[in-house]
Amino acid sequence: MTTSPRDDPNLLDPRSGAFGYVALCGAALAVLLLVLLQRGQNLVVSLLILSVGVAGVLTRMRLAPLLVLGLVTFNELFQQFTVSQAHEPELGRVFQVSDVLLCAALLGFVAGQYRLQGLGRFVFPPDEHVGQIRTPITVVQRRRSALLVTPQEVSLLAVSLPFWALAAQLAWHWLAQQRALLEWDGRIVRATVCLFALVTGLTVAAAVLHHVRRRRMTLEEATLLLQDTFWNETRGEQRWLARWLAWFWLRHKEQP
Amino acid sequence: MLTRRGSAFFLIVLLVLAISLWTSTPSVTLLCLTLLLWFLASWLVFQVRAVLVHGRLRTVRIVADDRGAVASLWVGRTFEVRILLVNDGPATLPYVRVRERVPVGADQIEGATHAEGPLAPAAPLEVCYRIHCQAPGGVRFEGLTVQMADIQGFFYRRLFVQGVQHYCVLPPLTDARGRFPTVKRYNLLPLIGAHRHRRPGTGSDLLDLRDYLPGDPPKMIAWKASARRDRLMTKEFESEVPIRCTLFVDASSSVRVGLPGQNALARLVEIVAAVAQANSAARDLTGLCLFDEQTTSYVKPARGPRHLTQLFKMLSDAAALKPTTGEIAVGLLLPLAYGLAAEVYPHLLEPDVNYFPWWLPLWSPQPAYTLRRPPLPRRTPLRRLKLLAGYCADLVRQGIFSRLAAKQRQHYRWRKQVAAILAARRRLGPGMLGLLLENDERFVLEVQYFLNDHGVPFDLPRYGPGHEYLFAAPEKVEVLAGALRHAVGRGRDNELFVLLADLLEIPDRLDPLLAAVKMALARHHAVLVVCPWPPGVPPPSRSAREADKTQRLCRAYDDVRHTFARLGVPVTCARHDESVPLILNRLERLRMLERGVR
Repeated sequence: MTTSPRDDPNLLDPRSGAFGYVALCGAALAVLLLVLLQRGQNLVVSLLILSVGVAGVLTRMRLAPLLVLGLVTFNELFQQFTVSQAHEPELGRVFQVSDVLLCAALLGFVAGQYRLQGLGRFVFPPDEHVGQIRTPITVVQRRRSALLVTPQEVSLLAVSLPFWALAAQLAWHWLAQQRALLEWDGRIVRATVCLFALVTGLTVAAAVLHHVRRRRMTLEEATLLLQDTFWNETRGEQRWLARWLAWFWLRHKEQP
Repeated sequence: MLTRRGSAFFLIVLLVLAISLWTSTPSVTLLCLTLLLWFLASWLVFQVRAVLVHGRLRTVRIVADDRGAVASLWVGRTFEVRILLVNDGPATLPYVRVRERVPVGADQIEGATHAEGPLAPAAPLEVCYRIHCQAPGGVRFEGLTVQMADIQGFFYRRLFVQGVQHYCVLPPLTDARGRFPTVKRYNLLPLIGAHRHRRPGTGSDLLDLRDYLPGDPPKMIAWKASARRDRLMTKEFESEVPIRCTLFVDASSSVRVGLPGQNALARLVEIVAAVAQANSAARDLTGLCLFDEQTTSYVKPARGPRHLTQLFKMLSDAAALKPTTGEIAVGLLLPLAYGLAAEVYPHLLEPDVNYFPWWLPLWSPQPAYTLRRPPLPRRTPLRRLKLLAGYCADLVRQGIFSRLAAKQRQHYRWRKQVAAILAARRRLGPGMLGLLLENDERFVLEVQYFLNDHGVPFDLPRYGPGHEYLFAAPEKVEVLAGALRHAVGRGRDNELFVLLADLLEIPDRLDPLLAAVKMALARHHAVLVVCPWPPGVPPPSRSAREADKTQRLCRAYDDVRHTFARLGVPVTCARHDESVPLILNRLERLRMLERGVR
């Protein structure tokens, strides 16, 4: 495979296909830093977040998105419990510009960083080597070629960031409403509602997808499904009969 | 399917969300909800795309040489394989990687067998590479492995797009000395001074002059030569009856043992192809009879390019045959079969259609009374004691250890899933799944058919537990004798019958064949025997007494040679380089048969 400047692993080269994501991550980190400073957060922690983010972009560190998330979380918790001494939660706090910007910036950094990891490290998990098939082994790279990055996909991600931030605001607005549930504490009620919504949503989505997948089954899959159902229903009887048949066949071979 | 990256991200975000909800930190909750909503939406989009393209992907494959698309391949030439993965579904996949499974029997020499990129309905992905075939037989292209992923690397799905195409690989176009043709195939007319049929007959070409014998027709008298020599001379013309050669090729299991292209049958196919082409160049007639343990397929002697292609097609079909035996252990073939199923039929191994209860190996492992045991030689008290001890050991092993051993449980799961695929693919009936799970012999036979269908090579034992040869098949002698009698009955003139048959393991079962050979010789035909020889074993010679197996084969070869030598039939080994020249030499001698022999 020939290489071209767009497939160059040098991330800072504007001709590289990955440069769009580098720029997106840089912009997201800048917005993140500005929002944190505007909120009066600790400068050292803010600069630490920035340095971890920059190091993650340059070295494609796997844990960089999660580290940035952890540091921001730690910073917010630290700010709430020690600096501002605000034990009372602001449950009605929705649609604040700084929150929207912070969420969009963090999502932009996380998504851009993971896509950079797909370009620099791997997209696919390693192949499972099952059995001992003697086929020629071809070494296939697991990372995505930077040649395939289009400006449209970077733009689409950048444009969609505020949408996800606003959707989260809506979700929090619904979640933060006062509910009387078995006289539980409000935190437990919110956690229960969140868990219930998550499990229900995932279950319904999985059931619908499963149903659609079954409707689109091939003849071979459908035959196998019917056969498997029959075997599961009559497994004991089939096993009993087949074992006696196998025993009879062995005896027949030994004493013809 | 979540990758490790996706799982770690999802769990960490859930954990942070739980902490933020517990500590009532709305800003962190908002962050986590943003990430979680984005992640779940990505998952949903990926799953919907995967469902929408399920069954809507297809492959278009073109195998071509420099002149264009071909229907069959030739040994020694290179061909270009071009595959398109076409998406007939409504959704565009943002990133897929396709990988071609290069068939066994073909070597990739150029190009890449993989491609990547987005897969849109109007923009297929293309893979292009070149292959080179080493041995006659067949190659089977299975299809393309397709790996789908989102561009973050959170979700992953692997599927196999079936696009089965089978191409036969014809033997190389070489002459008797192994040289490849350049431009001309062969001369339509013999060269000046060359006599193709050096026998007197009723043709139009002058063969010789001889003294007049009483009874010669007056019109054959050469008057000018008679005047010069002052005695009557008679003209002799060439015979127009061509030489016929019928080759009987053993295609039974005994010559199929071994890897494709490296077994005894491959050498037989080479010999037959070289002889057929040499005969074709001399405008002689070549017939072919393929036989195995039960059946024969016979093509009467003929000549011409179409007949030669027909012979090559039969030879390539025969070279693609694989042996089977029920005596092989399940554990030797099961990993191969499961690996093949996981590669080519990943959709048939999903728990949704091929479920395996995890507790089944603990509840009901294979009982000891259905296990196969090697037979002991004689029925003695010691034998009964050994049988009893072996049965007790099997009872303990199957009753206790196989329930606990992880490998046994894994093999049980593999066997169930492979048995289900075999029963469904070969339409064996609904109850066959249970039988394949319990009957070892039937299961290994079905697995061998499965592997052979897909061209996966595997080693087979030649000798059974009692040191008996598993592929001797004495019944093929009767089949060969019948085919030879049939050919002799349809023979027209002095013909050559070449028996390329593995008779080494059955020297005491040759009586029907010897009777048929005597009948052929009595009708003035010539017979020649070529014994296939296993690859990796030195060809027979008086000094080759190195290993036990070699000695055994050499002794068997000597027995067969002595048996046929009593009838005046030469026997040669297929591994010898002179086997093709020997056959052609016999044909040449048939051309020069003296007048009055028949």
